[in-house]
Amino acid sequence: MEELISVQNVSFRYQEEHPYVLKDVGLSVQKGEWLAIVGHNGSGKSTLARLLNGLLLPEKGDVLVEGFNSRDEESIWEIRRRVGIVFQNPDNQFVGTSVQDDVAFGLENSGMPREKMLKRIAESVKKVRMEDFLDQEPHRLSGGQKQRVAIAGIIALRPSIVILDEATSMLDPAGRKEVLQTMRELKEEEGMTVISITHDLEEAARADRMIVMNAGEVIDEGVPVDVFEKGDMLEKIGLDLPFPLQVQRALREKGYDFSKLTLSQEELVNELWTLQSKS
Amino acid sequence: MQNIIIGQYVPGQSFIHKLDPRAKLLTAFLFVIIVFLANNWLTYALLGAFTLIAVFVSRLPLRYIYNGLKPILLVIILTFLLHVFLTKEGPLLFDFGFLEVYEGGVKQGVFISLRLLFLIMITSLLTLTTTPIDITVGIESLLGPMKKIGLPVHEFALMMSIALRFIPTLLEETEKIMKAQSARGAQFSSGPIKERLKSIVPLLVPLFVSAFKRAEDLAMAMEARGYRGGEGRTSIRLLKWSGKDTTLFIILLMLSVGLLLLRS
Ligand SMILES: Nc1ncnc2c1ncn2[C@@H]1O[C@H](COP(=O)(O)OP(=O)(O)OP(=O)(O)O)[C@@H](O)[C@H]1O
Ligand SMILES: [Mg+2]
Repeated sequence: MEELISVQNVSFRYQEEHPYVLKDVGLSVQKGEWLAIVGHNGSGKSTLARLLNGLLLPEKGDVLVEGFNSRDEESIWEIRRRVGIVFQNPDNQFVGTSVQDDVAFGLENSGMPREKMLKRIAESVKKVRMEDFLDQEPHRLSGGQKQRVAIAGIIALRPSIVILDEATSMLDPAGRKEVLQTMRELKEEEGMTVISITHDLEEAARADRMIVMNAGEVIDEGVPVDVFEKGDMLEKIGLDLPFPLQVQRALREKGYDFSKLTLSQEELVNELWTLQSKS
Repeated sequence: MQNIIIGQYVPGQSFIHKLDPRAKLLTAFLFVIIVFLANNWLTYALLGAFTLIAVFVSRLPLRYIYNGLKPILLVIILTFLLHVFLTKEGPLLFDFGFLEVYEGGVKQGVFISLRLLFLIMITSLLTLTTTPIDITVGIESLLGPMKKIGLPVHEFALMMSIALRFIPTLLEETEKIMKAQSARGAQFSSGPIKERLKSIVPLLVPLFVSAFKRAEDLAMAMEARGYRGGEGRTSIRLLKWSGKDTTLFIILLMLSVGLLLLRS
């Protein structure tokens, strides 16, 4: 496994004499993984995301992206090109007056010649299946489509990591599904590394690994099934457990034995049948 | 509301639609100047011919041109009347006792009205056949050399295009807030003026709050995508000066020479 991002003992606050928003945070991101970051409102997830691509700089500690330290002024552009962020609000990150203009924005910033840009744009809108909308204006697109355009604008820059900062939280279920599906395909087919910041534990359950944040600290880290074993802790910091987990926990309390927790509804149903046949 | 969104642009495939926005901008600009060269029937006829041919070539339905003229029709009529009644030159045509109309007055009135008419027609032709964003790109390119003397041309163009991008979004939002406030009993379109003005405040406050939030988000998103000012930036929008544009330019040159020769 190759380490793409390394966050070392990072503390951060927005203003002096304000409390720290991140406290001694350490984590690493491996190439090709899907890492979910969950945590209550205000736990510092977005702040962390901004530190990861140099929009904010740590007060203490270091953030290294493929070896570039965000403290070095010359590294900042290298880091921003390698780490793309899809933000929460689909409207407020759409810069261009059309899909093509918006996807081009990052490329224009990097000073790419036009011919090359056109190729990159065609390539990346195809990957998010928005190739038929190139001339469309943003107000004629759905939220999910806008987020897919945002993804296209980012992958056009060929980054190593895409961060979704609650990128699906303002979308309807259909839009959410299409955006996550797009990202999963990118991960499978292009080996993209994904950091997904979310409130949705069901989404986090499908990640390769997850990190739990509370009040500016990383309080747990591991494969989702293991993290979910500590359901009390998640509930205590105000996160809603996915439905299958709630069922299993309730049944456990009643004395039924679930050796291994499952996160999918289907597996739960099977498990329940097994229990039924045993009793 | 849709009209404001795309400006007045009417999509089309005509010769004029396909011109480089820079050519159109320059033409409109030059036209505004040479209109003042005309000072007799012949020169006005020449300008009129140019304007009418341009309208014809654009293949725009005439009602769009008329819509552009409507707001200033009153101004044109008033200007005409003022000149007719106040200019006292040449032989007397009518005498109403309290009012005298001279030939010079009628002539002046017609000329000034025509001048206004031509100006409005040519400039509306520009906005009707060019998307606002193309106009912006055209202006950016034409003013490009001014960057050297420190004029923030790129910033201006970016500002324009972001404004164009967000106008529909903010309109949509205004509508939403209006509906929400109406549901709470606010009256925007009826009632005494004072009440209506009062009801604007709860409309503007949330609108401003959200606009600032959007601006902040957008700035963050732009920075995250590597924006660092106009320096070294390339553009996806390509302006192409072609034979058509040069032709237009030559026509305009000929028009100017014609005006200079024929004016008295
Ligand atoms: N620009 C800012 N200036 C000052 N304080 C800020 C700023 N942005 C966030 N904060 C504060 O930092 C803390 C962490 O905010 P952050 O946005 O990182 O949380 P979050 O985990 O992303 O929350 P959410 O789930 O609501 O998005 C909050 O207490 C917030 O009030
Ligand atoms: Mg956040």
